Amino acid sequence: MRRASASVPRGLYRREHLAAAAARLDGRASARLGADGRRWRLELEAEGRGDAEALLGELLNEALLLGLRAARLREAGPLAAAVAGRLLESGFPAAPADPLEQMEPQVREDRARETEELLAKARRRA
Amino acid sequence: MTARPWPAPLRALGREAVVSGPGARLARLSPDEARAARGGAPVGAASRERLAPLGVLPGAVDVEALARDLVATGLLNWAGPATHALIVSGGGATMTPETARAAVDFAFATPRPTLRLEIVDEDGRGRAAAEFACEYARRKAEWRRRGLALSWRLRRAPAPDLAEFLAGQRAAATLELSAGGAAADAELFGAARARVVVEAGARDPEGWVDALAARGLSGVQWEPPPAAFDSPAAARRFAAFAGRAFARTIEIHETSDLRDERAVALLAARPWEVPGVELLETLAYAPDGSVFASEDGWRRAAAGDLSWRLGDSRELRFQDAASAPIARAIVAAAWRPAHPLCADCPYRGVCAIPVSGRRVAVLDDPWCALHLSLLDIVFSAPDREKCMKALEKWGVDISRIAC
Repeated sequence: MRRASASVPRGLYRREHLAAAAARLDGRASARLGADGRRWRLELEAEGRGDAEALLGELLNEALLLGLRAARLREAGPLAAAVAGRLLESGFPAAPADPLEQMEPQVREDRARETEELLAKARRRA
Repeated sequence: MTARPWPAPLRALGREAVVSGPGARLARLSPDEARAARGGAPVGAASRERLAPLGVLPGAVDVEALARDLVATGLLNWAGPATHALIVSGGGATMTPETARAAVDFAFATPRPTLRLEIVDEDGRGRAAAEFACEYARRKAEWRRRGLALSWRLRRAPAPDLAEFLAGQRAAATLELSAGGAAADAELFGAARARVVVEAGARDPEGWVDALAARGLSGVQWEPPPAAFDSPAAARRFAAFAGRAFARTIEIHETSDLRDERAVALLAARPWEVPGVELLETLAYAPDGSVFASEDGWRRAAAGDLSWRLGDSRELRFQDAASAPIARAIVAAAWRPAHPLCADCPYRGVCAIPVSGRRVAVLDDPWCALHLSLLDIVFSAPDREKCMKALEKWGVDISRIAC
């Protein structure tokens, strides 16, 4: 089916969510939105061999999800932002430097030499 | 007084249900309790006491237990990535030993006391860098007194010289297998763990588990095939296969050492430690020394999407990784209650889903389907005692799962 239409309550679906959901069907369908009292009237035309009914269902589902997502973000946003902000600000500390290497130059040199020997062995294998 | 629905995510499992509180504690509800949770009946005194640590019943909250749980399982308790995937060859490129050194140095600059280094030699041409990385990481762990688990992913059983090297380095061979048919096709000799891609033709999950257990493997991870990321039906097939395999793993736990690593990671209730979660659980090092937020992120770079690249291991400092745009997005996305479809899921406190491979909505994502399948089995197992014994044997803190 190339065309499909639906009438849905304006209280459940916000215009911007329907528009954003329609944008996600770009290239697969084109949608038209009209107001009819307290309801939205949606008309959808599928491009190519897409099923208009299925695409309309996808559009309405996506619009509901967007609405739900916006509501969740309003609800949880401040706490989520606080946690994320704290984590990004102080949650990435590097491992502390090895005090033995810092205080004992000989240890540092021994370890550097051992690493060089391992590298030389690996180069011979390569 | 009219009974009200509990303000907590609820998932029906037949006549029973599973419920979670604000933290990462979960409880299986009897049919009567499930009815009470939906607001259809008052809750009894015994149930109030049992469910107090969850913090779901007004007037029956063990505040101290809840606070301890929130601190232990909160994102602020994150201590750096656990798994470092060193891709010594792949996509036609091979890592040099010098680059491997920079990558290992970067891994040791991350703060987690215990690290897991996973060697990934996709083309089989990176052995020199891989062996160097193992030896260097082992020495470095001794110098720095850090815990280190070494693992080498292989597509076939290790050759004798490699098996000897792995034994010398106390490294586990992880076999990457493809479950496109029955388990008998697999060659498991010399492996300690397995990652099994559940291809479209996969069958007999119980047979696979029996074969892995018979070879003495200690762990298995079931991986979705690429098709599962595009098709909800393929995602569900994959989850059903892995779910049946998990149920079989529980069933035979008394006679085998095999454990389902993903289920164990989920039930550890530290969502940032779920395998494959970008940046929080894992980092990947490309053959050219680039640091990626995940292996999938590295694969996407081959298709031109560099958004998962954090920097170059020779220049990047771990403390600067937080300023990468993708790091901000990942950390913000890790807050599950902000996700519309996760907010009402009782498993949200223990779950995390790698997002770099996602191309479909969350409920159609193979990881989401798999996690639901595994956790549903824990909370609907007919033999609860056997299930809890298996989980306890695998190191799961079963006190947070009130079954």
